[in-house]
Amino acid sequence: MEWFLDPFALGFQQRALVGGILAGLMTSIVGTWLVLRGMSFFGDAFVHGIVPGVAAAVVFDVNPLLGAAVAALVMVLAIEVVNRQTSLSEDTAIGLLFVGMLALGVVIISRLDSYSGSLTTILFGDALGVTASDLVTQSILAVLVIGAATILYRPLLALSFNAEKAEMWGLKPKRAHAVLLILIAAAVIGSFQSIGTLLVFGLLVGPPATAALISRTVPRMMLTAAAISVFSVWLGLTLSYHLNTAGSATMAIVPIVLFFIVLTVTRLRPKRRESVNAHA
Amino acid sequence: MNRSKIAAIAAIASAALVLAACSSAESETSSQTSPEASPETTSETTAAESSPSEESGVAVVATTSILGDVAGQIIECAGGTVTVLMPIGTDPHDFSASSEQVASMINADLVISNGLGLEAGLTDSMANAATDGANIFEVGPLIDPIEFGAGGHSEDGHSDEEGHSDEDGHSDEEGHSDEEGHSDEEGHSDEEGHSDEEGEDDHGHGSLDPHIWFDMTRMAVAAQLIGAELTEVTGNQEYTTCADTTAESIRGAEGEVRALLEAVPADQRILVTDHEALGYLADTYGYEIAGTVIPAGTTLAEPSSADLANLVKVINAEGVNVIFTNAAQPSALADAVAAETGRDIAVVPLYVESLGAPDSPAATYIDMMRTNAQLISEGLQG
Repeated sequence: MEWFLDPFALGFQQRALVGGILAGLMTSIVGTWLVLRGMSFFGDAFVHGIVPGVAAAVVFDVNPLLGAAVAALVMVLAIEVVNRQTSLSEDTAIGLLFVGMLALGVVIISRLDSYSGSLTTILFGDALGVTASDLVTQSILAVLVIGAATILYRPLLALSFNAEKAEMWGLKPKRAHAVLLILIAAAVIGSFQSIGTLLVFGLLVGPPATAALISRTVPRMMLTAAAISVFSVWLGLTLSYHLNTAGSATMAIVPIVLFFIVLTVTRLRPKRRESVNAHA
Repeated sequence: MNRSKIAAIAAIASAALVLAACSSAESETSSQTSPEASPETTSETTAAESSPSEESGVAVVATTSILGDVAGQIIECAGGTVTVLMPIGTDPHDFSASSEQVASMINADLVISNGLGLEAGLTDSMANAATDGANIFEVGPLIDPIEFGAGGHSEDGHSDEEGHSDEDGHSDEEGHSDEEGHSDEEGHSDEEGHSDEEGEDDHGHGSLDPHIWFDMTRMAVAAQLIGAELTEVTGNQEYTTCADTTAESIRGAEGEVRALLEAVPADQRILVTDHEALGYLADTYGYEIAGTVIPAGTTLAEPSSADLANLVKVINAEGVNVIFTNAAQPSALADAVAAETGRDIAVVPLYVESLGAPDSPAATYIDMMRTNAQLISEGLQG
C-alpha cells in the first residue's frame, strides 16, 4: 500500500500528478486527431518549434506561454509559406522548420549563464517544480482545448476521414484544420511546463497510438487514450519515485512501452475486429 | 454516425468530468497543503523531537557534500542525522533532486543550502518544497558574499569578454570588498545571469559569488550560523557549542592553507581555472584570476570560440604555466586550451565543488581545502 501512497504523500508530488494528468488529458484528445490524420511528424516538429519562444521568454523574462504561442504561430505560418510557394512536400517544410526552430532556441538560450540547466528544463520539463499557479493556467487551457474539441467534433471527424466530402457537406475543413493546429499548440503549451517540450510528444502520440490498436470508434479511442495518459502519468511518477529516475522522462516512456505491450497482445489474439486505423 | 456522435459527447463529457474532478481536487489539495502541510510536518517532527532521544532526533538535509561535512561534524558532536542530497563528485550547479529527495527536504527539521544561486538545478524543487513546509536555511547570503570578479582582475583588460569587470575592477575592488550592503542582493545571482548579454560588467557588479567555501574564515562563520540555527530549531544549546568547536578547527586549518598559499611569490599568484569558482580564495590571499575556461560563475554556461581564443592569448601573455580544473568534471576544453597555447601547460584538477571520495585526500572539507592549497602552491611554483 505504501508503495502506492508514498509517491503522492506530499504537496509537490500531488501537483506533479495533477499537472501530468491535465497535460495527459489535453494531449490525448488532440493527439487522437493527430494520429488519425497522420500528422505525427508535424506534432513532433511543433513541440520543438516552440523552444525558441520559451527560450526568448526565459532570456527576456516574459511569460513562457506567450513566447511559446508566438513561436507556434511563426512555425505554422512558415510551414504554410513553404507549402504554397514551393512544390516541395510538406515533410520537407516541417523538417526545415523543426530543426531551424530548435537550433534557434538553443542559440538564444546559449546567451544565458545557466545555459544547460535552462535548456534541460525547457526540453525535459520539471514535473517536481510545478506550482499551484501553473496548474491554474493548465486547467484553463485544458477546459478550452477539451471544450473546443467537443464542439468541433463533427468537422474534425470529417476532416480526418474525408476532407473533400467535408467540403461538400459545408463543414469548412480548412477552418477545422486551422482550429486543430491551434488546439495542438494550446495542448503543447499547456503541457510543456510539467513534462518538457521534447517529452510532451510522448503523451501526444503514445496514448492515442496505443488506443488506436484497441478502439473501434473515435470517441472510444479518445477515451482510451485519456485513460492511458492518466495511467502513464501516474505510473511514471510512481516509478520515478521508487527508482529515483527523472520524473518527466519516466512519464513519457510509459505510454511508448504500453504501445508495444498492447501491440504484442493484440497480434497474439488476431480475432479482434478491425481497428480505427483500418477505417482510415 | 449518430451513435458515434453521442458516444463522442459522452466520452468528452466524462473526460471533462474527470478533469473537473481533478482540478477541483487539486485546488483543494493545493490550498490545503500549503497552509496545512507545514503544521502537519512540524507537528510530526516535534512529536519525534519530544520523544526521549531528543538530540538524536534532529534530521538535517544538506545540499552539497561540503555543507554536509561541516554540518555533519556539528551533528556528530551534538546528535542527529545529516542527509546529503548531492553525491560526491556532483556538480552542484547542475544537480536536480528526485521526488524522494524533495520529500526528504520537506520532512527534515532543517535544510541547509548554500544559496546565492549555486544550486541552480534545485531552485524550482526547493521553492516547491518550501511551499510544502520545508525549513530551508540558506547560509551563503548571511556570510557577506563577494561579487564575481572582485578578487581577480588584471591590468590589460584582456578578459572583458569573460564577464569580469576588468576595466574598473581596480578602483572598485577596494571599496567593494565587504561592507557595501550586499545583503539586499542576496540569492539573486541566478537571475542576474541574464544580464550578461546587456553588458559584460554586469557580471562583476550584479551577482554574488556562491563558492563561499573557498574562504575558510567565512565557512567557520557559516558553521556557527548553522549551529545557532540548529539550536533555534531544537532548543538544544549543544549545537551552538559543537559548532564553535567545528569553526575552531576550520580556523586552525585555515592557518595551514594560508601558509601554503602565501608561500607563492606575489608575482606568481595568477590563476586560470575552469569556471569562476575561486573568487574567494583569490580575494583572501591576494591572487589574480587571469581567466577561466568557462567565462561564468557556473558550469552550466559554455564558452564561445572567441572566449577560448582570448583565453589562450591571456595565458601566453601572462606566462601562465598551469590551468586548474575540476577533479569531478574533467574538461576537454581545458586540455584543448592548454594544447593551443603551444607551451607545456600543466592541467591540475582541484576539488572545486564537491568533496573527493572517502579514500581521496579531500574526504572532508578541511582536507579538501588543504589539498587544494597544496596543489595550487605546487602547481604555481613547480
